[in-house]
Amino acid sequence: MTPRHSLLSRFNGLAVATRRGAGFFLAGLAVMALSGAAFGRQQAAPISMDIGDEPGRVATAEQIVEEGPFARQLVFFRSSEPAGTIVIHTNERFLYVVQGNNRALRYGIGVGREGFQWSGLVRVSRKAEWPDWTPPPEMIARQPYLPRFMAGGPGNPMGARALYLGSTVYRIHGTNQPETIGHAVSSGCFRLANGDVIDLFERIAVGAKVIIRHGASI
Amino acid sequence: MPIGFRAFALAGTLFAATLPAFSGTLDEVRKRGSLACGVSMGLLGFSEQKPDGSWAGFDVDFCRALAAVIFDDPKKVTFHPLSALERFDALKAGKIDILSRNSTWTLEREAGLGLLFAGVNFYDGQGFMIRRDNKAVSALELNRTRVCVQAGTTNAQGATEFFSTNSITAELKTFPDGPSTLRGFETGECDVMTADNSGLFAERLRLARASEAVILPDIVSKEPLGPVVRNDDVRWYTLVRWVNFALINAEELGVASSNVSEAKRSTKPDVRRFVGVDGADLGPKLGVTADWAARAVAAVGNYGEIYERNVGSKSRLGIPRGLNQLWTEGGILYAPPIR
Amino acid sequence: MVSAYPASLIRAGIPAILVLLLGGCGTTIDEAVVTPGALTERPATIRNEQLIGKWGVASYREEKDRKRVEAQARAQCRLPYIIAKGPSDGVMMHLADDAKLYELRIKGGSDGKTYLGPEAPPGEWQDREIISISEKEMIMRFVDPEVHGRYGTFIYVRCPG
Repeated sequence: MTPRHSLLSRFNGLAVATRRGAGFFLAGLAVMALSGAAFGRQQAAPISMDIGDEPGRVATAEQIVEEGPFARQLVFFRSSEPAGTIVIHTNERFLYVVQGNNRALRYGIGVGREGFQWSGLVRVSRKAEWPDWTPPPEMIARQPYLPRFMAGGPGNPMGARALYLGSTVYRIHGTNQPETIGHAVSSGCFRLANGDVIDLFERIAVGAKVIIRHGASI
Repeated sequence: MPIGFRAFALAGTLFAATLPAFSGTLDEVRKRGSLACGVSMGLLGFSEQKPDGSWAGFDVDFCRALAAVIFDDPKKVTFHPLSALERFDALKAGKIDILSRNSTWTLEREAGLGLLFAGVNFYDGQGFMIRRDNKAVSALELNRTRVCVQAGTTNAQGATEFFSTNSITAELKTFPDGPSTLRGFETGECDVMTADNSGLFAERLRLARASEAVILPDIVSKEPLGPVVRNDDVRWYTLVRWVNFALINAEELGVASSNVSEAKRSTKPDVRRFVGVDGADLGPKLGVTADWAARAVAAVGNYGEIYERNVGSKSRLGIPRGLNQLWTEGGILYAPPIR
Repeated sequence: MVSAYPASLIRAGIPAILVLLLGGCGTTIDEAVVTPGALTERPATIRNEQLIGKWGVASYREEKDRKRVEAQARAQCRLPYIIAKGPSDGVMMHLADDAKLYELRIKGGSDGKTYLGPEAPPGEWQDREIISISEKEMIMRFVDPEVHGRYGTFIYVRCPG
């Protein structure tokens, strides 16, 4: 199997729409790779997809999760937090922006792999457009062919926007692999499709509260 | 047989003497070797019969959980598909032991029909679907719209009341059945379609362009759905009630199908009681084994797993948890503690 | 199973296939792509020894980032990319998306460019093009436009010592 094929085989049938612009190239590969049978895999989506960040396919800024449960949508959400607070439910793979009046805007996210998951309260300390990417050393060990630093841009795994969380190494960022939304893949960061992280970026101010929760543990 | 159990069974017998004749549903189910469960005749996500004859869905899983509690085998269930008209009669006549069929809990059904709702496992209610280009984010913004609704449903009345309460001028257009209502919305005859929320998510899948339709987060009526039993067997009612509570408590405690065996080694008192390592007399008080709740979770998962698999983010329906999220996570699901 | 998703996929799909026919317009390719097999090999002017050693590696896509990324590459000598001499007449390096080391060979192309890749005619799709090379720095890019689009242009800065 060539590297090219191994990349394609990782598309899992999540509905990701590219509106217009340069990203059609790779969205097209996804479409071609999907046979009718591939749709069936959506039903039995695995809990985690063990793939690393890759300077993967070029996803454009316009790419959003357009359909299905992980599409951005307003939902009923009781919360005593002020509007503009981000609440992340890692086990559900959803990020909520509290709107007040028992509602929240919900985005599908990819979350940290088992063991990397963490919870707590932080604040957005910084925001960046098309952030640069420095792969962590463990990733270099696994994928030694990666550049040690990659300037921000469409093929960059950090995606179109990043919201940095407090003084931690974690952030909410975009992704060049929107088909990983709904899975546990990253090293503790929260990833959204690029179009969705751009939407989030516009709504959230530096200093906003971010509450990260995952289900109770036995 | 543990002493506690025998004492309880005796008390049950005495109590039953004051009630109408029938009171041994659990014993009867055991003797029969399977649970008779009434379900709907086919409702996406709630009860569907697969080509191989097996049943799947949210309502189906509740009966499987109950069978797992009784028999430690979720397959020991006979499903009886029932129409809306025949469902309560079938239950009253003893053809089924439990009705798990998206039925709304109302006073009339309990006091009038002699039934008991063992709890709520799905908070449904009337919602609204609009086109994506309509920028409304709330049902309060539906002024000067045309609204499609199916005639003869509570939704027509519900919409009228909601709009008049909120000084909204909307034109209600009624259609004879579900498909024509949806067609009215799809062809642009209406700007809005209203129905019960779970129904809207199912109908949306039938649209040629599902992503062009948005379902608002507002729920404007109460349609609490849950399992129903006869009111002549309080012991059976209590068991069914606590199976529902157990599934919800499991999610709150983090007990899932993937970790239920590990949970027996937990150091948390609530978890230890849940799986029956501590408080081993609790299950027998319900007439079942100490590990009753663990059996249910091992068979079908906790409430969250059942929800996501059948109607939530792992299903085609993709209904957001909304009201059906735990009380700690933004919803209103709240089960009394197991202790 | 009938999918709930065909509409959006098809919508994305039609223009996508058109673009595919146009040959990777989605990426920032500014030069004509070499058709594999179209080149014949000529003696290379670059020698293996020029590549061997420890390098700080970074990549960029837009020219405006180049200076900044050069400085970043230098800083990455903490985690250098090491190029060693191979058992026959090549150097040990990685291909794209593959964690295994391969012996790669420097190949001169009949188009006047220098390529680096496995045993195959120059300009083959797994090759890199060596754009420039000096004592202190070399610049390369993958020939495959899809891979280049993802990784961008690589700058290698020689690490001290």
